[in-house]
Amino acid sequence: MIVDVQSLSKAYGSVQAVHELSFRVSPGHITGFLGPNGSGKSTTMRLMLGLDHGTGTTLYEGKRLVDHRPVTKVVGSHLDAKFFHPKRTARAHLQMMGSEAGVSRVRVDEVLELVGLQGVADKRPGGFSLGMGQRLGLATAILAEPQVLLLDEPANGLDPQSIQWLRDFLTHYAQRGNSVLVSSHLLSEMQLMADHLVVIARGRLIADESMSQFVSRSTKNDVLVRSSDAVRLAAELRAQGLGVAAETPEALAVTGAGTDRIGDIAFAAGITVRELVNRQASLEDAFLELTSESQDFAAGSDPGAMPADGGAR
Amino acid sequence: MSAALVYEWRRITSIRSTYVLVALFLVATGLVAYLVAQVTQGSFGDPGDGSDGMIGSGSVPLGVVMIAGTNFLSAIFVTTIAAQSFGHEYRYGLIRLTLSEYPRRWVIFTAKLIVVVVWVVALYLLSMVVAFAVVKIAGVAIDPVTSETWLQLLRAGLFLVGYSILAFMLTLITRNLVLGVVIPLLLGAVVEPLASAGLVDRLPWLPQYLPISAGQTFLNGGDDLGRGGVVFLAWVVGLSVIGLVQFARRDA
Repeated sequence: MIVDVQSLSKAYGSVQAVHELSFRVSPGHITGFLGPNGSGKSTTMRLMLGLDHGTGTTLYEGKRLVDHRPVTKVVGSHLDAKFFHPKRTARAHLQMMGSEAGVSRVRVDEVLELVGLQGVADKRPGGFSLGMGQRLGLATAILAEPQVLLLDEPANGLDPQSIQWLRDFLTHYAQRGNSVLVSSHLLSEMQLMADHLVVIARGRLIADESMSQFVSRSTKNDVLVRSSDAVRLAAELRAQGLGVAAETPEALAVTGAGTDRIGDIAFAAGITVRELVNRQASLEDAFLELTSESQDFAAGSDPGAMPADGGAR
Repeated sequence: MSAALVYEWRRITSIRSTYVLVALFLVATGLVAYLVAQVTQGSFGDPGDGSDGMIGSGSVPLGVVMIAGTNFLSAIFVTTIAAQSFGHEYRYGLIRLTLSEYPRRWVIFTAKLIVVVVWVVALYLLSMVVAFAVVKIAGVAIDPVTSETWLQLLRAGLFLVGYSILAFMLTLITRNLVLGVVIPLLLGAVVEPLASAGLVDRLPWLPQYLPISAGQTFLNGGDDLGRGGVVFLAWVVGLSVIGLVQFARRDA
């Protein structure tokens, strides 16, 4: 099911939380939804679900959410790990949430087992850890087997095994032709999981492209060259219009060309090359570069900068 | 709508506090019924000596004990059940799950209101059974039922339903469970009596138009019954409209 987000806007007083945001979530893909803190990701998801009122529309296969029946077969959402009554058992919570789609008890048990909560199905979730809360939230989202999943930070509080399970689960879910939009601050995880990215900052769209296209925008995509005559090689490469930075006396970071061309230039100049490696920027590198100007809630730039007395008073 | 009713039914029946409140409501009702029977059994009977004295046969009008469910203490428990309908959802953030499941807000609003009214009516009927049983077990004689008794019981039931809807709507408007329960109680027990007493000279008509005072006028019967009922109903309907409009317009 295609999700078309069209010109969503939302203001809180004079603060424009989301501004004319348009993008598409396609079936068969996991779309990562990224942005710095306060960039409007959660607000956008709430607008997409009709929980908050703003302007613009979100169409699910060409129709508004309110025009679909049952709604939970169309979209399942997980916005917070604590959206449950602490005294209502996990099983009762799911039975209640499954009422709109007429979900059976068998399906409730199935989902509890799928997310690994079958052992605490009849326990009250007030004492659940954050990770268990995330699992219950995910169970709620997938209960009616919706064609679209909207997940806001679902990996928060999960241990590495659970994160890997979540990644595999969402990948499999998307491969079955479903649409998945997931926000996360775990960029390394997102890099492994998502194949498309929507990046926003200060409520505005700054990227809507494939993961590879987004990462290729980083200036940290370069080629490491080690040579015994790095100085001469640097001069040759610069003469060809490439960007060169010395990392060590023997190593150069080269931008503007791939390994083949750099190897050819070195060969033509008769310079011995000892190492020639393509270095790809991470999603984190690309994300930080692209959003560095758009952070509303940035910490100090030097985390090591502490008072001489270590801050003690 | 049927799915929303199932949702709401599962919501209200899947938390222990509902049953605790029901139990407290029935215990309070039984206790009040017993005390009322003990206090009043001498006040209504025929003294049997031909005099006009109040101490007599010891029988009690049925309506006097059977409206025990509408006493102040019992009302706290039953209105808490009504207030929890939206109160719990806002307190624990569940409202966002609920509304993503039922994006047509009037649907879930109506389902919640229906389920609350059904619960309150059922509890009121149960409270009458409890009150009757307590009085019987205590060995107090009960006067024959008259048409006035049934009207009195009907008015008491309507008052309890209206009072619960006030708590329901105040919780929805304030998005706060405690305020939803406390405001009607404070209005009835403190604010309205003080306002009426303090402004009796300047605004002698005021008590007639205050919500709980009007409700009690309706409950008590008498000449002003009709006006009290209309004013109480106007408050209930007015707050319901405000509650629904706010619920539809505000962010979840």
